[in-house]
Parts: sequence; structure tokens; C-alpha cells
Amino acid sequence: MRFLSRPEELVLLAVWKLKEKAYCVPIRDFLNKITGKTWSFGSVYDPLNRLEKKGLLESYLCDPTRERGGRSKRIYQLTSAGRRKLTEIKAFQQAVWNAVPDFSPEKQEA
Amino acid sequence: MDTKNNDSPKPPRIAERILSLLYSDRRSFTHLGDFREVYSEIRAKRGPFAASFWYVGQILRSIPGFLLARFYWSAVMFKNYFIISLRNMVRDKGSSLINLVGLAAGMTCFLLILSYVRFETSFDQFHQNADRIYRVTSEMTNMGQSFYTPDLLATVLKAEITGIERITQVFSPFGGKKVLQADGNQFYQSGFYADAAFLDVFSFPLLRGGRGNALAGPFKIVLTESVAKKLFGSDESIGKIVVWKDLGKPRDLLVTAILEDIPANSHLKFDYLISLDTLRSDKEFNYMFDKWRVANFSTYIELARGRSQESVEPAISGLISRLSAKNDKNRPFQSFRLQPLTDIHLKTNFDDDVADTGDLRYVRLFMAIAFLILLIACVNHVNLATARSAVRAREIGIRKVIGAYRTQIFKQLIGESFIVTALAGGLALGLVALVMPWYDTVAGIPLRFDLFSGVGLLPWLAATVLFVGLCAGIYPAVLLSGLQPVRTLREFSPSGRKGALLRNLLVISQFMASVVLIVATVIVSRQMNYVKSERLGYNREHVVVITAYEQETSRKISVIKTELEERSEVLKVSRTAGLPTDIRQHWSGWEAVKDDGTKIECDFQLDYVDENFLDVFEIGLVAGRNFRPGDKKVIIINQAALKDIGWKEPIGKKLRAGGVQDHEVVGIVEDFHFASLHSRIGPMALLFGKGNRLAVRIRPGDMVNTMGVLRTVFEKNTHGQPFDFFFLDDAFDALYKKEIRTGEIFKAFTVLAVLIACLGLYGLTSFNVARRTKEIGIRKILGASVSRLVLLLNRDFVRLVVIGNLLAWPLAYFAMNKWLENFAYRISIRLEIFLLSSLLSLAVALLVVGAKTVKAALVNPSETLRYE
Repeated sequence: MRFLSRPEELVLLAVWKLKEKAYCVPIRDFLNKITGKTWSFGSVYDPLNRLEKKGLLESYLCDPTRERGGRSKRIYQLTSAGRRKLTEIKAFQQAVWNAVPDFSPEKQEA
Repeated sequence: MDTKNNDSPKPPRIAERILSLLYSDRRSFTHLGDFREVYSEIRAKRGPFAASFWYVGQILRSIPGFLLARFYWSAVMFKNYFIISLRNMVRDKGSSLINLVGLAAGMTCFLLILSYVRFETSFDQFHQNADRIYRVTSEMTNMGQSFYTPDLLATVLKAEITGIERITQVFSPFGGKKVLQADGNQFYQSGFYADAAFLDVFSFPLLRGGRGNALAGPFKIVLTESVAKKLFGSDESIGKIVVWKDLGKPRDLLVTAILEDIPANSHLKFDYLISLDTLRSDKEFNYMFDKWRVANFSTYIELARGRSQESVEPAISGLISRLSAKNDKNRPFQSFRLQPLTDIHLKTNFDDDVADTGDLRYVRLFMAIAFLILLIACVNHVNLATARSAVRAREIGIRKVIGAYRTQIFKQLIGESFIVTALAGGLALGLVALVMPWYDTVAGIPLRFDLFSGVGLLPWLAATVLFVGLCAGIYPAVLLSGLQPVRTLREFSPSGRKGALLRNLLVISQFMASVVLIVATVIVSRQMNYVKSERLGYNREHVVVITAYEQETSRKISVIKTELEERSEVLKVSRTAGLPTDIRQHWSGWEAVKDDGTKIECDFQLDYVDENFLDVFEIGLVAGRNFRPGDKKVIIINQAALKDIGWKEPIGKKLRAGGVQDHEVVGIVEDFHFASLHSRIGPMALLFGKGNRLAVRIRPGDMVNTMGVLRTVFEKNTHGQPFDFFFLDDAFDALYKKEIRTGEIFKAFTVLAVLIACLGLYGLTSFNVARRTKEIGIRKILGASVSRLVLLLNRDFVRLVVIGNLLAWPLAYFAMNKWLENFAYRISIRLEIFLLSSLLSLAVALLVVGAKTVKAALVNPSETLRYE
């Protein structure tokens, strides 16, 4: 299989999670939250564009809202290929983790 | 409720614009929305300042990516474009060379003309306060404008008008050159009297001495560097004494300062300046000072900062009209205006101006020619590029198929034309450097080839390259970038038909421009020939004029005359003040009683001559007699003057000068052209008197020997005064300096323009012939004769050239008619001139095209069709 980069994986996951609210701003918020870092817009657009080119995502324009100054949103959706990819990734991750001895760090966050 | 516009807080407008520029792909619209959304969120939480700060931060971090995307990739593409265009040039050596040479020649012309125009327009700009300095001109009701102003003017202006920073007066000594003598050396030099403020108003660069009082007080002189070196052998001459000699008493003058030599682009040209107080302290010249009546000075004023001509001029007029209304014997009778210093060279045409004057019309004319030639060169580029579009079509088709945008192809093609133009520009620069020395002498002005100095050509060259690159490149680029890849790639043999109409139009316009130039050149040179060969009414050949500039020579002048008359090399000598080219004085107020008893007043142009004058210059008498030694109060007038007065029996009639002195008319001379042919022959009179010039008619033949004889006789009698002379011929030519110069430059640039146009035609023909080789082969097989083929190939071009010619005729006619109006005596524009020019252009075009087409028609068809 062809691997995705880590940001691509995360973005793909975010789109899955956010369902029909998946446009750039919430995606970035989500990523900020789970990684604890501030993602720039560029670092969100790039994976989105790439995933779309690879056919894992598709997008459509949606009605504008007030706080966007009259500009429409571009909502992203998983394609079936995207969904398959996500499954593959999950299976692969688990397979990798299962293949090594159990690993539990001494200190977990509270 | 809130309106649509105000529904959410906005980030700074400019920031949003920048961001939309950076994200310029199709998605930017939603991207901007994203940014806006977060902006409003931050604004709601942390206030507008933080939000704007964040927004600007976003812009800043977008920049590196933007730069990479834009410039890195375009640099990569640029390299590709560069290689491709070089390859294309090398592949098609012939037409590239033609293109390059044409452009280079055109740009060379342009740069040369430009440097002339820039010289002409740079006059007096070097003075620090050039924009605030004005020359005062005076106007009298029946005399017209003059730059001579009375002495009182300066005094009154200084006292009464606010807003004038400084005033300076200049007096140009009568009779031109004077003798400067020091350390046993003596030379003829010309200079001015100037007052103390002169060096403050004008910033002529000073080498030694101080500006402030170099010209304050009597008997002081300021020399230019080269004169100082000539006289003293070095420029360390401050405090030394120079003897200044004119027809009066010699004066000892103290050298107080040394100036750098006067720049060529100064309207005032002088070798030395004498303090005006020298003149003021001389009783002989008292009559010029503190009067309104005598106007002998040039007055220059420097306005205070912030004052304008518009504010000061009315104040002066007001003052003058108040003064002239006073019932005072000594009151002004003329009105005064201001003339900007930098306008003097190009925009004045006073007779006998002390200033070095040019002509704005010629400057404009040359500028027009320069652009015409540049356009002809551009046309070559356009023609060759569109003609070759067939060849380029494949490449462009492929590029488009691979995914090039039209704008990219457009940029590539424009870039190519810039590369060619830049190469041509480099070539032009070399040519300019090469031609400049020759051009100097033709244009008659000192032009230096100064690339890098303050007024260098380099920025102009860059501008020219840009201009030409754009002019020449834009049409082919638009045309070629619009080609449809499907068509260019499918068609087996692209025709190159595209742009054929335009190409034809361009060839027509090229030949039109060339023919206009040819006609202009022919007419200019015919007019000049006419001027030279026109019966002037006197014989200007083989006359040498020797002038006595100072006292010693002047005392000996009759001795020299007698001695010269004894020599066999000399035919006749006249001692005279005036010359046929230069009848200097204008006297008004001559009274005459007409045949019907009425009195009339008339004006004459007149001068003093002796009894040999008419013989030396071979001027014919119509009636009466010549002057005789011992004559008193006699006058000879010309036919024009006689016609004005209308006497039937003129001989013996009286003319009264200034209401007191009767002069008896003893003779009538034929009208001769005593001024240039620009103006009609007016009334003229000769008075019997003694001048300070000797006009010597010499025997044609051994010039060197004759001049040697003249020199020996002169030097023997004048104790080593420098021998100075001129030929009347040269004085005559000087009357037409501008025209002769224009003619020369015209000739050179016409030849070039025609050459460039032919070059283009040659390129186009060779391209067309190459495209049609197969057609020619097939025609030959089917039985076409060589002559028919040549005809076929030439027909199109001949048609274009003929149309161009016909269009050029009316244009040339109007333009040249206008030019000829400058001459009161002129040739008529005849059809034959047009026919001749057209025939010439046609012949040249045929020669160019013919060679190529005959060669193509002679090729054995088996050669051309072998590979089919």
C-alpha cells in the first residue's frame, strides 16, 4: 500500500470525525486540539489538496455564513477510497502495534 | 437590524487584498472565508487588535511559500525559454541576423539623434538656479522684440520690485573679437563686459579666485582656463596684467579669477569677462548709462525662491507703465517681459542674438525621424516573427498540450523579443561609440560618448530596449500565443498565412516612411543647391575678408590696402564696414519727397562702403554712378528701396536722415541678397564711408601662395598682430548653418532608414521563397518559365512598395511645403522629385527582392522535389 504522510492521515481522520461540518476552520481547530499545537492554514490546505488529488476526499461549496464575510465554505467528504484508506491505516497501525511486545510507558498523563 | 454589509467585523481591507493576491488560485475565495472566520472568532475573544495582529501574521507566513512557488519555478522555466529562443535564433541564422542588424541600426540612429536632442535641450541647465533665472526682453511698438535692454532697467528693478534676488547686466562689445595681449603673446578672443553679480547668478565653474568680487570695480578681467594657458602658459595667472585692445585706447586689466572653459551647452559663450565698471568709468561710454533711450545691455534676473514669472512679470509691467506715464524726459518707452533662461537656446529667434540659438522645430523634426527609424526597425522584427510563426507553431502547440497557459507563452515570446532587442542594444552601443566622432562633426556640436557620467546614454538605452522590445514583441506574442494546438499540430504544412495582412500593411508603411524621407532629402538638398546657385546679385567666391580689430591695424588699414592692390595676386580691395552677407545697421526715419509731392518716411538696412565695394563683389548698377573719392553726403539705394519710394527719375533726388542731413542719391544698385534667402530683399542703402574691414578679391589659383602674400603684407604693417581672416563663402554658408546641418543628418538617416527597410524586405522574401520552393518546383515541371516565376514572386512586393510610395507622396508634399515656407526664395516641388524618389525606392526594393527570387526560380526542380 501507499503510505500517507502523518498530517494527511490526521486530516483524513478529522474529516471523518467532523462529517458534514468538515471545512477548513473546524478541521484546523480539531487538529490543534488533538495535537496541542497551532496548525497554520497552509499546513491544513496542503494535505487537503493532496488528499483530494489522490481521490481520497471530495469537496463541495456550501452556503456562506455571516462571520465569513459572505464567502462560501468548502466542505470535504471522504470518498469510498478515502474510507477504505482509513480502514487500511487503522488495520495497519494495529498490526504494527500487535507485532511488537506490549509497550506501556511508566508515566501516563493523568 | 444589521445590514448585509455590516454583518461581521472586517479585517483590514488592505490585508485582505494582499492575502487574496498571495492565494491567487481558484480556491482563494473559500480560503479568504476561512481566514475571515477565524479572524472574527479571535476578535470576539481577544479584541480587534489581536485579531488584526494575527491576520497580518498569517500574511507574513504565507510569503515564503509564495516566493518559492512563484520565483523558483519561473526561474526554471526562464532557463528553458532562454535556451529555446537561442536555439531558434541559431537555427534561422539569416533572418535572426537581419532582425538583429536592423534593430541595432535603428537603435543606433535613435541613440545618436537622442544625444543630439538631449544636447540641444540641455542648454543652460547646468546653472544651479537655472529654473529661477530669466532674461529680460524688451519690446518697442514698431521695432518688435529685442533682448537689448537699457542700463536704467536694472537699477529700477533692483530698487522697486520685490522677489528679485539678483540682477546682472552683460554688455557685448561692438565689433566682436578683440585682442588680448600678455607676456608677448596676443590673440583674438571674444568676451563680454559683466557686472559683479554675474558670477553669482550664473554658476560657471570657477577654477581660481573668488566669485564675489572678481568683477567688482574697474579694470578687472576673468579669463577662461584655455585663454589663460594660451596667454601665460599656465593658469596661475591671478594678479597678472592683460592688455585688452580694441579700436580705442588699449587697456591694462588685472586678472582676478579663472573660469573653467565655458560648456558647449551654454547660451552665453565667451573667452573672458571684463568688469562692467571698466566701461562705466570710461567717459566715452557715458552715453549708455543711466538712460532708457540707449539699450545695449542684456539683463538677467534671478528670482527669489518661491517667486514665479507670473507674479513678477505683471509687477514689472505695472512699474514700467507708471514710470513711462511720468512727464520726464528720461522715461521708459518700451515694455519688458521675462524669458526663462532655459528657453533662450531653443525658443528665441532674435536677429543677431548674442546667444547661441538653436531651433526647436529641428529638434522636433529629428525626434520624429528617430522614432520613424525605430519603428521601421520594429516592423522588421514583427514581420519576421509573424512570418516565422509557422515554424514556431509546432513548439507552441506542444507547449500548450503539455499544459502551458496562454499567458506563459505570451511571456515567453515577449521575453524572446527582449532578448533580441537587448542583444541589438549592445550592438547599438558599440556602433554609437564607433560613429560618434564622425557624427560630432556632422551635427556640428560637441557630443561626447559618455556612458556612465551623469547624463549618460545608458538609462536611455535601457528605455529604448524596453520600448522596442515591447513594440516589436507584442503583436507576434499575442498572435502566436493564441494559436490553437489542435490545428497547428494536425495541419501538415502550416501556411504562415496568419498575419499576412498586417505584414503587408507594415511593409507598406515602411516604404511609405522611407519614401517620405527620400523625398525630404531630395528637396532639402535641391533647396540648398538652389540657395547656393541662386543669382545672389553678388559674387561671393574668391573674396577674403580681413578685419582690423584694434587700433594699430586700424591706423594702418589704408596702407595695407594700397600695398595689397599692388600685388598681382590681388585683383581689387575694398575698405568697407558692411559685407553683402552682412549689411548690419538698421536706420529708420529717412524722409523722402515723392514725385507727387507727398512726404514719406522709410527704413533702410544700410552700411558704409567705399568706391571699390561694387567692383569687388561684382554688384551691378542699374542707374547713376558709383561713389567717387571726395563724395560727400551721397547715397546709393537698391531697386527695392526705389520701388518703395516710387521715383521716376531717382538720380539727384534727396533723402533726409533724421530730419537734418540731406543725402543725394547718386546710384541705384541691383537688388542683391544681403540677408539669407529666408527673407525677401528689403530696401537697402549704401553710404560712402570708411570701414574697418578689407574685402580682397583675389586672383583664383594658388591659394596657399596668395594667403601667404596677404599674411606677409598684414604682418609687416601691423607689427605682429595676429593675422585673422575669413572667406566670404564661409560667412555665406554660416547663414544656412542649420539647413546645411539638417541636410547632412537627413541624408545619413535616410540612407539608413532605406537600408533597414530593405533588410526587412530581404528577410521576408527569403522566408517566402523558402516556403514556396516546392510550389516553384511544381510550377517549373508544369512548364512555367523562369521569367514568369520571377514575376510571380515579385508581384506582391512590388505592389506593396508601390502602394507605400503613393501614400507617401501627399505626406511628403505637405511636410516639405511647410519646410520650404521658411524660405522667401524657394524651389517649387515638382512631380519629378516624387517620381525620382519612388523609382529609386522601387529599384532598391527590386534589387533586394530580385536577387533572391531569381535564384529561387533558377533552381532545378529535381533538387526541390527530390525528397517528396
